[in-house]
Amino acid sequence: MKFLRSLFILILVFSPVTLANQLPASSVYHFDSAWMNQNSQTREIVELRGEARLVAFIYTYCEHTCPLIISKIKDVLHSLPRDLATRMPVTLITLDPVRDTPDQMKAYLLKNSLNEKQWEILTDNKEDIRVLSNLFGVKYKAMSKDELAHSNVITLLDADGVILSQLRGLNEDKKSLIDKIISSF
Amino acid sequence: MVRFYLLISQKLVSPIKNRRVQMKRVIFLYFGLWVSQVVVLSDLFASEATTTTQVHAGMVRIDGGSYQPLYKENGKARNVTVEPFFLDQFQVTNREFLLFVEQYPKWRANQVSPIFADQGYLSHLDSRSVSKQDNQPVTYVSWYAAMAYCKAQGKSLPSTEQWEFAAQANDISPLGIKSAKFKRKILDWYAKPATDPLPDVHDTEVNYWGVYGMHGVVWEQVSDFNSALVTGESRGDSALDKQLFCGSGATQAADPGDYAAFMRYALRSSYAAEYTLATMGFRCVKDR
Repeated sequence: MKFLRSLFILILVFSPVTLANQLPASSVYHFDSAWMNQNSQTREIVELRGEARLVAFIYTYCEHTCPLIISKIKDVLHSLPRDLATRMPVTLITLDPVRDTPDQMKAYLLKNSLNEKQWEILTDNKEDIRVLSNLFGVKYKAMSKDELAHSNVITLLDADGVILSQLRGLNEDKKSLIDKIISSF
Repeated sequence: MVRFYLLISQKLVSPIKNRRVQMKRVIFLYFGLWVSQVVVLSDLFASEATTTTQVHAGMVRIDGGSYQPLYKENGKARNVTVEPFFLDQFQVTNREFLLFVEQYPKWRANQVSPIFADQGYLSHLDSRSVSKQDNQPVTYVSWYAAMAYCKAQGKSLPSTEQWEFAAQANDISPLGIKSAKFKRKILDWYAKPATDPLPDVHDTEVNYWGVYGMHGVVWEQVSDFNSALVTGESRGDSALDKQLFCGSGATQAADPGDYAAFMRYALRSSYAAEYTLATMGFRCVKDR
């Protein structure tokens, strides 16, 4: 009896841990893949787990909508309480792994004064980028040598990689996204 | 080569006049044999080199060429250059896909994550006997699963351009699609009810390249289906949708007569990567 009781207590103590380790069914972090950031460091996708974050797809030589995506994200961050605004991680995924080398990505962060403690750009092979874009419902297509048409989507992931909210289109009202961010912390 | 041997043999059979001429002929013969050996050997090496780099089992080489995508850009029909690539001769079969699933348990029907496949995933394989379906094209497979399958074989899914380029061929020409008769035939295939049982992948029509069943069997996955930018998101999140709305569709198309291409385009643009369809299969490519 005593043995059973201690077993029961053991299960009680350890099960929350195992539950927490298991990714939720709808987490995008189920996509086993290794990415590379602007400092040429490998980033397994599960390493993004642990904090809620904003994610957007860009390419660094983009002249039309990408700067708008970046300024929209900045705009969203500025509307957050001060501690959140400087802490909320932002992950950008390049849509052009050929031209966006780590050096190029690093230069882009510098040029746009995006703090590396908060902002990160990731690249990978073109197949993995296709898979990830589909997980976020992002469409894109190379139009010419210098232009890539793509959906403008800003996504809020929770700490486990589940999509909580998406701003689809740059004219969308940011309020619902901001409310979701605040309530997720 | 042949002429060279004839020359030598003629010289040899002609009567020998004196010792000096005989010596000359022997030297000439040795020299000839040496040259021919070098030629034959270098031929052998050359053919070996091409076979090791350019042949993949079950795949055929599609010579590159120019391809006109369905949609114009800025009002102009455009040509895209397709580099040579290797394409699976046959669609991936149920048996092949089951082997993959055994090796990669995360793609089993009872283990697959719901973000990678909807509930229909591989649902055809538990209802009927598998053996009869062994060589039929695998269907009820999501785009994510198809990508993972090709990756596991060291291949990938064809791009839209690669697939469409290879699909332009009829049985006698790489550009069979120019023939009205062939276009008609494809449409007749498309009009067949989808309830018909699927054929074995080997019992399908073969095209100019040696690829089987490109039309009239199942729809096929492409790696970049989400580059078809016709979306419901008409509020400006895609830069392109004005050009791609239904209303302007036919006027923007490079070949408005190619209805079958419209149908494929429409399917891709309304597809999502986790969907599994009874009529959607796939095959893989290698770029080299």
